[in-house]
Amino acid sequence: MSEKNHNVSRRQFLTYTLMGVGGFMGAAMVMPMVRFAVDPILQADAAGDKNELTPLSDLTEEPQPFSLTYEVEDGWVTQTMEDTVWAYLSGDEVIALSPTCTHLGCTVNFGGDENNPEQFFCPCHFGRFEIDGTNVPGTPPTEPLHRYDTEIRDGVIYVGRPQPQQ
Amino acid sequence: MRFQTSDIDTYQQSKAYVDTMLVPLLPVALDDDLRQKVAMGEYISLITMEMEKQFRGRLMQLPPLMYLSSESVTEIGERLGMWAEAFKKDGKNHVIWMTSDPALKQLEDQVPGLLLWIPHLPIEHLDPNYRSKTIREQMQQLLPDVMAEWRKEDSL
Repeated sequence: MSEKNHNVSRRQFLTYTLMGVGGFMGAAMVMPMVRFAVDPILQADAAGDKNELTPLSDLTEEPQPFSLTYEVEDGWVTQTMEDTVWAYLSGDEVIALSPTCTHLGCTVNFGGDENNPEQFFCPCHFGRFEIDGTNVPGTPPTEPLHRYDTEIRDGVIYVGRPQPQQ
Repeated sequence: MRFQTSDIDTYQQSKAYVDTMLVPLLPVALDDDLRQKVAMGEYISLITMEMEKQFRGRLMQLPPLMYLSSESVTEIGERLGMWAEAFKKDGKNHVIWMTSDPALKQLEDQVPGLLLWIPHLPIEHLDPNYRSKTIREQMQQLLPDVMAEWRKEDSL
């Protein structure tokens, strides 16, 4: 049999095979790189996600502590974190504040000081904050309590991460 | 604040506000009672962490102070006294010692500062969610003691 009787010559067969295998190998190398490069874009949505806090019907005009659980990914380890959020209704608006004192990071409580029952109080250095989180001048903290952005879906409050108030 | 580099800058900037040392006390002995000691140590570490979280701006949490279970209580008491003396020289006004070792309960009135004796609960068998809740509740019960300690001008 001569080469001419074949539809695919030996030379062509080898070329196709090499191209095919080479293509796979190339793709195997380039794909992960592309994925790593694009990864932050794919993740962006997840980072902006909000976590469920509590049903809206639980809120009153008086701030109450609610516990917030969320997951943090650090490398390969996923940890469940638990934070407290103080939330209340101001008219129709939901206000959710972080209880971390803006002075040195202690945990504040609403009504923790007998003399100022309508304020947040930090037991460490007697820092005080108004109900909306504004720091009371003359006490150690220099900025308001951080506030969570909130969203209401089907009567349930979802919160993001605490942000400084300006 | 913790004994770690990420907290030390804050500490040095606001030294005057941090007047309390928080020291967990852990008994060690590789005897038959090892399991119990480990459980106690774990429990105390968790409560100490929770305490640090609550009051991080006013206290500095040190690594645990270990002692051999075979040491006499008097010896341990003297050692704590030495530490307290050193903290005082550095301008600290309070020390909070954390322990669940029944042997140390008798030191409550003898050592300088506040010795919090917290009976060990076997939380290692609990569901993780329930565990953190238990720790937080325990912590809440300790708050009045800490506040009372801080009302003393200078306890060392």
